[in-house]
Amino acid sequence: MDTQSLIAAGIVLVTLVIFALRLARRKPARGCGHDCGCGKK
Amino acid sequence: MHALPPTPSTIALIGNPNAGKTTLFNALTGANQKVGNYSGVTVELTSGETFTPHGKKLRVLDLPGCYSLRAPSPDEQVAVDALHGHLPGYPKPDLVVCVVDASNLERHLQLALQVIELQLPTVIALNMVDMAEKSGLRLDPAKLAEELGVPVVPLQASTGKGVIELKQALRFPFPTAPAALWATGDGDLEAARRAFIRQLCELAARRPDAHQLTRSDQLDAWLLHPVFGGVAFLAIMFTVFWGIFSFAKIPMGWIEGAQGAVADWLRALLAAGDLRSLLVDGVLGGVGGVLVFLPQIVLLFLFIGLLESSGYMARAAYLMDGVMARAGLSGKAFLPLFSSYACAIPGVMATRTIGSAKERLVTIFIAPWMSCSARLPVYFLIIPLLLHESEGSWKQALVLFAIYTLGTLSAFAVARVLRRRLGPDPAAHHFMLELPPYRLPQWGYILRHVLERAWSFVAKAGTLILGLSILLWALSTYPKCDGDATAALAASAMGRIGRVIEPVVKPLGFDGRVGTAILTSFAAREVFNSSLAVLFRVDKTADKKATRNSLRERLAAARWPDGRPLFTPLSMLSLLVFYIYALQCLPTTAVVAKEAGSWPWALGQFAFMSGFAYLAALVIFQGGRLLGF
Amino acid sequence: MAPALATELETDCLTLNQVGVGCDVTIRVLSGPGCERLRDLGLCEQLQVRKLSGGRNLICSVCGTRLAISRDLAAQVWVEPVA
Repeated sequence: MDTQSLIAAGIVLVTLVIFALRLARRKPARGCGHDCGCGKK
Repeated sequence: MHALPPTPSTIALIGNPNAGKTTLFNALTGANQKVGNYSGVTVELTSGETFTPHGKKLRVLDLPGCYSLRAPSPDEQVAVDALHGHLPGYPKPDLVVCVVDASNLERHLQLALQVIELQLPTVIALNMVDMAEKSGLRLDPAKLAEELGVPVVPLQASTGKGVIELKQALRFPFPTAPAALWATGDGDLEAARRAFIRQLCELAARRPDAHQLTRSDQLDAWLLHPVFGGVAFLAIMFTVFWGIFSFAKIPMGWIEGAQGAVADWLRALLAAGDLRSLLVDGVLGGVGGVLVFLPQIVLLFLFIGLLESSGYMARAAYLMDGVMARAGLSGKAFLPLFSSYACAIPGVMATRTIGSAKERLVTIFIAPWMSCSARLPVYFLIIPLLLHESEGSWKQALVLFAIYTLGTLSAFAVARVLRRRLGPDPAAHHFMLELPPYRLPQWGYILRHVLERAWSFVAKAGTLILGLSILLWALSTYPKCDGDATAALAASAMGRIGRVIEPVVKPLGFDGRVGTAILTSFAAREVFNSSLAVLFRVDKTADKKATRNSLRERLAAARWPDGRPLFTPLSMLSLLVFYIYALQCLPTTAVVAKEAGSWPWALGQFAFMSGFAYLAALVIFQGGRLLGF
Repeated sequence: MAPALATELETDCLTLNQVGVGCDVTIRVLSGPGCERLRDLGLCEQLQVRKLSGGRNLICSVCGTRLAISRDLAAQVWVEPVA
């Protein structure tokens, strides 16, 4: 695998980990999710 | 030994809707809570902090507007519970600031007296004094304070005038709870209260002429006219759509140009390979495919802000009451439904102003069919494919208007059926609405809110959509295989998903790629654009010249394996109809479950809307084919 | 009808529905299931009201504010024209 493929795969893995962590932490779901983009706090 | 810092005292802001509580709250706490010129904007409690001139920290609670502490609607009940300290997480307030509109003392003092009867320390904030004096009202705050037995602070919250004096009145120790001077032992308390208010207003708030015809009245003679009012309403709505389409074109061109320039730069910087593909096709294509619609989002919220702050929304609710009655709803449901055009979540929460529990449930159920702003990137991608702008941007605006109308009318039809099935209310609820005076738009305020929404949109694109675009790229790249771009896509995970999904979506006029994109958009509707950008990317080997093909051009050129165009007018209509009806927002389902008080209801809504979307798209596509389109 | 209401209505009383548009009236009596809510909104006895428009939902001017109420609610407001 060349450098580009390695870096790309690395980015994908990091993204997956971030998503997994966010899903695990979102268990106590409040009324309005912060990333729904509607701007209401 | 250090003394423990004392817990900050809590003050609560209460008052009639439109009295200016939230404006005062923003002025006190420096917060930026939403203010609109219609009742029902604040439906839940918000809290902030402020400091007195002596440096003492105070916790401030902004309560929903309340006409009375007796027999309240669900949003008013929040205010009542807060005053009694029955709200979990919020202590009983140590002091209550009762915000009254100086031009409306006869009506607003009712609540103030009820608060004083609760024996909590009270301060009266006499708001909008400037407007009152301009209309010829002669106020005597000192006399009011003397008769009521509580401090009265005149202010104009929107300019900040009098806020310092209010903070000084909040000095510790708080003024002791007053005795209700009108509550003599015998007799009807309500009647005594009313008599007291009448006398008080004679003394301290003399009104020159009860019914001057104001400029607002003159405007209303037209805008509330049974025929002309309705026409004006439709004309205003159509102008908003047309405005969003036409004014957005130039900024959109800039964003697309910038996107192309960055893509060129990356292609020059990096040799062909995975990283370049990830950055150009995945990140730039995916996020860019959503960000390019920022101008439309800004314009949408700008128009909504203008309509809300001018006071027209209350008139719209009045005009729509007759139409909504045929759907089994009342004019009160109009405002929550209108909010849902921006985002269903605050719209669902705003249904707390609806007194009837059954009507509230129905309104919550249909709210997602008011096309929310997340669908705009999808609509704005497909509509120009359907109708090129050379045919006239007003035609495109018409299609958008038709989309919104279809969603709205279907929602009303379902509401009517549902309302009937739920049965009549135990107690009758009647339409009543306060029509606030028209106001010139408060630009500073509106622009701040538009920026806030725009930032939310960009932040969402930069986080959730970025992440999903990267994952989508991964799905369309791995597992790898040798061969040209088409073969590689077919061998990847996304290709496999596409093959599985294709039989399901083919009857709707979509191929596996579009079907996969639809599937991914259940995470966030905007991701549909990102998915298409990744799935329909330009051949890697053809990068010799700068291929600045926009997503739209690539989609227009897309073909089925047998060479037929993929995006025909019929299949695009079917796609649009699918997006009108599909409920693809997990946060909305969560809020619905909370507000309706039941998860089965929310899940039922999801199942119904998904099934309906599929069927509607099916009917459109197959029906159209039968008719020979 | 409660005796109090009957005596109130002996004089020339109409409901808010029945008065003409543009009329100035004084509220004499509120009677009916919605009257508590009407009082909360600010429509109390002895207040002066001007009817601005009629129909399915009325608009009236009370103490400088414009209020819209439904026909059913307006039928519970008994008024007397201002002399």
